[in-house]
Amino acid sequence: MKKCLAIILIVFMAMVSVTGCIFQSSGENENKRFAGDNITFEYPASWVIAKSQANDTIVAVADPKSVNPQTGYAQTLVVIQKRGLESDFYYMYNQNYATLFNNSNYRRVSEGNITIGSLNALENTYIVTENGVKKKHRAIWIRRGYEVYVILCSALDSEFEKERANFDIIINSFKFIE
Amino acid sequence: MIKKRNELLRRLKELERDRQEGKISKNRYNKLKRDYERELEAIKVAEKIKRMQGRSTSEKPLDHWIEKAKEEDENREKEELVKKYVKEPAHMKKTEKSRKALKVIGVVLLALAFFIGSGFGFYLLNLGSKQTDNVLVNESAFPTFTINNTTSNYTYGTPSYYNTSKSNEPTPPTTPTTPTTPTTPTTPTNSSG
Repeated sequence: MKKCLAIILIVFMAMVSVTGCIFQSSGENENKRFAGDNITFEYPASWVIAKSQANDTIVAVADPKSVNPQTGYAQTLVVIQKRGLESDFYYMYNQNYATLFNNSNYRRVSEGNITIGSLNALENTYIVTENGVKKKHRAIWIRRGYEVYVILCSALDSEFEKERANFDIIINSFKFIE
Repeated sequence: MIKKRNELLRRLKELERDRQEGKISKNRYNKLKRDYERELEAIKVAEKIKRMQGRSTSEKPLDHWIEKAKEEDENREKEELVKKYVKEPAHMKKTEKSRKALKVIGVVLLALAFFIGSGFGFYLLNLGSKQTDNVLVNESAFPTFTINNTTSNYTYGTPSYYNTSKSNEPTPPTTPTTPTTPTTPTTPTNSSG
């Protein structure tokens, strides 16, 4: 009788736990949504909202599995920043990258115009090498009125292509809330 | 009336027994028997009248009541014998108690399992969201970095551009201070007068 009860107990606990795991794993297939500060976008369910130490950050999302234990910072992430427009959008863009590529750690990969939904944007892809670590960045600049929004996608150079689908989830779902 | 009839029947039985045992004389026996039978006859007549009037009466014969009394006595004796000689074994009592205890333990364990299992499930569910506060990022689309030059230190990047634009704003002119009024000279005093 006691053995029977113990078996029932174990089976019951396993059932509840497995149900919880299934529920969790099923949730991983769906995207999460961020909405705030006049913007909204979807991001992978396994990612989390991260604390950004960069200025002008609206929100940052990151893959918690990519946290570097030595530095404590996530390496696969998307940061969305906002700044007031300085005279001209293109001037501001060019000024920023002229300063950036003046530094030998920064190397331009590509740049061009893209369309996100109904929004025209500028895209700049570059590689940063710091302390022997190569990181690839894809920055998308969007002008909205007198404000400039930048979606910065970042990952280790070796991981960037793998994460492209996750970055696209965020970029393609990015919208302004009226 | 039934009670009285039964009483008379019982007396008649006793009378028969006494006569057989020789406890009573033949004359007295005949006399008592005649009296009882007369009374019984009167009761039967009364019952017949009642039946004719439509009142309910006991239709059961005397033997029925005697049999019933016998059955009751037998049952009572059986019960006494069972109580006296047939005892419930101790281990049977114990198993009954232990069964009840096990039922209670089972219910408690199931409730515990439910709460522990649910708690564990929720723990697994919340495992991912707990990481939210721990993840830090330091990447920026507008990075600032300082390079050391032999002549001076420069800070590159747009934040410096932002800051310098504010610092270059002209400072508002200072308001002039009002001139102090000259003091009136004191008149000299004539000592020669």
